[in-house]
Amino acid sequence: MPDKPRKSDEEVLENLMNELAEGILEISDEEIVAEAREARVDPDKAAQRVAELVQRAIEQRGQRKRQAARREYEATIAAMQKRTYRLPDDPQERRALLDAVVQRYPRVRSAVTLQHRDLTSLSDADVRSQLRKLQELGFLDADGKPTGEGE
Amino acid sequence: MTVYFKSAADVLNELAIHDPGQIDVEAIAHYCSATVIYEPLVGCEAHIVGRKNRAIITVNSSAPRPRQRFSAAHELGHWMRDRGTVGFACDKNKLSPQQRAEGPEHLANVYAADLLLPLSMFVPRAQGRPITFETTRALAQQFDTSLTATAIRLVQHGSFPAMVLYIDGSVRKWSVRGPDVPAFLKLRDEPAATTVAHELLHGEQPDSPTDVYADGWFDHPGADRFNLREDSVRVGRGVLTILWWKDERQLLSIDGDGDSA
Repeated sequence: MPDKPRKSDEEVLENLMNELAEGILEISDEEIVAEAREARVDPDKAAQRVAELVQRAIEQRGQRKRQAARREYEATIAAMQKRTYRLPDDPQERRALLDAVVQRYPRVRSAVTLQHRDLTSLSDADVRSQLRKLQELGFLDADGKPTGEGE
Repeated sequence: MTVYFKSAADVLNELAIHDPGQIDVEAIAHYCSATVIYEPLVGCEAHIVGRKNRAIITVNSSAPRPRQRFSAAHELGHWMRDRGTVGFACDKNKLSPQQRAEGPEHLANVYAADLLLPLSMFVPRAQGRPITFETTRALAQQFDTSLTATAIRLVQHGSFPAMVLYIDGSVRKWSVRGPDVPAFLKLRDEPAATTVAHELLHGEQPDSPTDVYADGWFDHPGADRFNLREDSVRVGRGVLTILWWKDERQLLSIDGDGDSA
């Protein structure tokens, strides 16, 4: 009969942890406290230490998320600054393109027109800036053409 | 439709933020799929454009840093409530407390205050402290928030009865009262000549804070028999005033019928 395949160290450890966990679940709280006292462990202090460990782990996880968010934010800004946005060369065409997006998505109108009633009061720099953001968000495709069905 | 809304407290908890210095508004917004960028803006302080699960918040690059933070947090408040195709442009009026309660601008302002001045951090730092601009400035520095936003938080969640109001020219633009200041106390349309705000509005440099008679501020029978502490400072073209009932008995003695108890 062939030998059974040898379990990896991780599998052995996992099985051991599972059995320990099951064993602990099967005994009552009173038995755990009694066993801890027998082993000269103060159950209250042990519980406090575990709670602190759990809290520290939660804190570290949150901190890692926060640091990752800052790094990703900076990377996003750098990528946006490097990206080349394909927009019409002619200022009038750019303005017409912005108007077309606003017609298609009325809900973005106030943000895109910066509260002005129409686009004529926007400078060409404003128009370019708005179009770049709209392209970044997918309102325009890579060729600078409006996307989607609108609202 | 998926509801994405997360309260400011939930976001702060997820990112294990427990100290004012950790409130990194750009990182928080990015965590919520909104990228904050800074550009010169004319006619508005900030705007947001969003589509599907991503938004770009543009903040006025020439605004003071505390206002930039509040504007970014305000736009994030819009995003958390109206995720999807969205567009808002917000000027100073929309960022001020004169917005209609429960309207989108008011809710965005509440979100910004909850994010930048969370009560779990603010209340212990404000507890027992005088309701004055000295306290407000100290807290504003800790939280990197504007004097106005911090003063509003202080009168709402400080330890004593107080209110804050803003007068532009001689017109009261808005007022916010703390929970212990009764609604029946009606503010005068204009502060009387006996008030610090009046003197400031007329180019004088009075001492502040100082005790003034309540009838300088309130149309209420018997108000001339009570006093309160007034602290007024010039902010922009107007005057920002904190009214603090330092002696709380002065407030408790006034009842809704106008008689002193």
